[in-house]
Amino acid sequence: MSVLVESKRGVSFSVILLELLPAALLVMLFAGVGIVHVTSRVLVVKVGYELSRLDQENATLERDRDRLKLELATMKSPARLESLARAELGLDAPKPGAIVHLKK
Amino acid sequence: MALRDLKHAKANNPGRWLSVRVRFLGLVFLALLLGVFGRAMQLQVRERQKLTSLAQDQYLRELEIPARRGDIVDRRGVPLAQSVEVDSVWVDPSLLPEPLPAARALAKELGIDTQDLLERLEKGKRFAWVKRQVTPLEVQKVKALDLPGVGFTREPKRFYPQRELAAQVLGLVGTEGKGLDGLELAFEDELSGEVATRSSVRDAKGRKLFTEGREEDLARHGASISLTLDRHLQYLAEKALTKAVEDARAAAGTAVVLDPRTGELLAIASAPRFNPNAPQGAPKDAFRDRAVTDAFEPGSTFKAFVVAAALDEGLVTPTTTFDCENGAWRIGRHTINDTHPHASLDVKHILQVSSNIGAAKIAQKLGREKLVDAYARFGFGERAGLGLPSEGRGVVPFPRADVALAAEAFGQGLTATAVQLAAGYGALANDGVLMRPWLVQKVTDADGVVLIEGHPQEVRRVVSPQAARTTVAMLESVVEKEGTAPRARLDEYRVSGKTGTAQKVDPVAKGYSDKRIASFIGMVPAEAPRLVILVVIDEPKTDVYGGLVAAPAFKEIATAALPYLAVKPSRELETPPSVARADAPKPAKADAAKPAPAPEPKAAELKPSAALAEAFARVDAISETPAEGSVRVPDLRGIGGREAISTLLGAALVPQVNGSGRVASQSPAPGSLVVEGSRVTLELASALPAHPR
Repeated sequence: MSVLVESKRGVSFSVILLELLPAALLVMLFAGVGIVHVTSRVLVVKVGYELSRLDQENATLERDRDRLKLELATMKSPARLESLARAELGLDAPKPGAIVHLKK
Repeated sequence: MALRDLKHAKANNPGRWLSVRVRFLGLVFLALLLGVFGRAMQLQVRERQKLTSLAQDQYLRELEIPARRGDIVDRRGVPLAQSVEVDSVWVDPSLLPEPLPAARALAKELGIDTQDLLERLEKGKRFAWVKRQVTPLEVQKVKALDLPGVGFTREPKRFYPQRELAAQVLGLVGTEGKGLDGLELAFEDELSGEVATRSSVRDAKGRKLFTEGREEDLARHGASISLTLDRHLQYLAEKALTKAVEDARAAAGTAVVLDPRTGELLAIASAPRFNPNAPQGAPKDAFRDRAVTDAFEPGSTFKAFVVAAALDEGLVTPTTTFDCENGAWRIGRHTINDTHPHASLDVKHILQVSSNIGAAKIAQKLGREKLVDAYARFGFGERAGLGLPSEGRGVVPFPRADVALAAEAFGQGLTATAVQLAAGYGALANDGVLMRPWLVQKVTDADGVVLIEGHPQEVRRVVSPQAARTTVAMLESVVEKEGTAPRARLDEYRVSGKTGTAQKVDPVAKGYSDKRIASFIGMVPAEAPRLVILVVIDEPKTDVYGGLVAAPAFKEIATAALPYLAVKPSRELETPPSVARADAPKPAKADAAKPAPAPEPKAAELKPSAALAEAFARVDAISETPAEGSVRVPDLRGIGGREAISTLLGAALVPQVNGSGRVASQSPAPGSLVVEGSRVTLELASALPAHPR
């Protein structure tokens, strides 16, 4: 028992630190890698939500674009244009001779 | 005693006791590890598949993204059929506390049958359609009900923005998005594209979470189809045809407009019409594309082919005279009649007054084999090859009996489709060369790659140019006062055409009935035909003659179509009203108060006046130099997006870009005059074929 106490007194604090250093570094490394991994996963999930939100928005915009294109085509249908031209603007189909053909 | 021994042993030999404890604990840990290892083996190896699929069922979702069905557009890119995503209503019946009141409320708002809906709710455990492809208003009404378990999903729905226009040609698409008829059916594979699946993670709240980037999904979209049809000409044809059918109180009608130089079908109209956006309730025969599917006995319009063939064989000339038997010619037990009796007629007048006897005698001179061969060469008895479903072929039987030969000479006892007839006249108008009639100009993939491209295709030379031109020239007499169709005459353009009034076969009595098919087919302008216009009226009630019921519709179409195509008039009228007003000398003061009546155009052939020449010069000047503040839109098609943007900015225009790659289309069209600072929309596509500029 007395031998053990004596040998312990002979070991300095710095030696103990040096012996623990690799373990500490290893722990720090693991912690670092863990933090980076978790952070990246959080970012991936965040970007995933953003992606799905944008995807939804894109689908909605595409749908709106298609609807507007359809509406435009419907508004420009010749039957509608003709009835508007006749009823609201008082226009009529050109009579024979009213069209001037340009020289080339 | 034993306890005392143990204590004694511990005290005497502490190292050994420690070793025992360590080994014991080691064994315990080893057993635990083995247990964990065994469990891991069971979960990770033995039950791996089952557990993986269980887990994936909870968080992974395979999203099915329906392909966007390709558009169908006319020759100028005007959309005729488009797809838009709309909502469909579904329900999870297990979440409905009381199905009956819920079904009643839903059925009331959506206009469906309560009993049908209840049956669907009872059948479906977790899913049942309530109503598919509903309107935004219906969506709002259903949302207002606030029923548990009701959901909405988006589905593509086909819309036809031009409503009835070319409805029979385009066909229909069912609720499942499959083509049922017309082009929608014929080009189902090209239009439909491929349904894409995409995996997505769902979190505990059911929100979508994409863990992979979105792939470019253009490739799976359906291809778009460009037709040779022209929306404006189609409208003109349908309007005139509908009016003619209504005026004649006819059962149905068909109109075809064809470019004889290329064989392009510019309009295919059928009456009665239907609105493909709401086809429910339309009569069944309104869906039929009569011009393509129906083979009918054409009647006298076939006489032109007999004459052309005889001219080509050198058997007749326009002045060759035939004995027309004073209007009644007996062949065996049958008698051939003419509407107006004539003692004798030359070939030109046989066409002008449409003499059946004269045509029969020309056919007799030509002979059976040559007549049938001529009809075959004009394209009759074989499908035109438009690629549409149920395309008619028509039949030209070999005329063994003399009366059959005579009947075939005036278009009875054989059948042809309206498209075949128009193409046959197209051959006459095209100096004797038959062009294949075609409808699909281009099928373009979603990324701009052209999959199918149509071209004008020469089928064969049918008759010599001289024979064709002579026939066309003789047919001009048909629209003269003495001809059968003076109502087809145009003021500014020379018309060459032929009437037809055919008897219809009664399928029950197996003979000819008193019903008629009246038709008129014209080539305009006669000196260099740009259009062949055919109008067929089925079972007219007011009058039965083609010159009376079909010719006015032809005139209406041609009068509007030729100026639209910028075809120069064959003859110029004395005073174009608008020009006359601008250049007329000022009226005397006494007359100034009176409103000057617009001068009525006169159908006279005169040379251009000085005023007209001046007007030409003025309009030329206007069209060459844009007014201040306006700018002409440059042609950007086919060039890169970046270059297009800088060109537009340089021209004081604002670019609006959709997509990436090269410019596939632009709006407004190249050459249009717009105000500076106007927005020009560019549709870009990544793999664009070289665009002809």
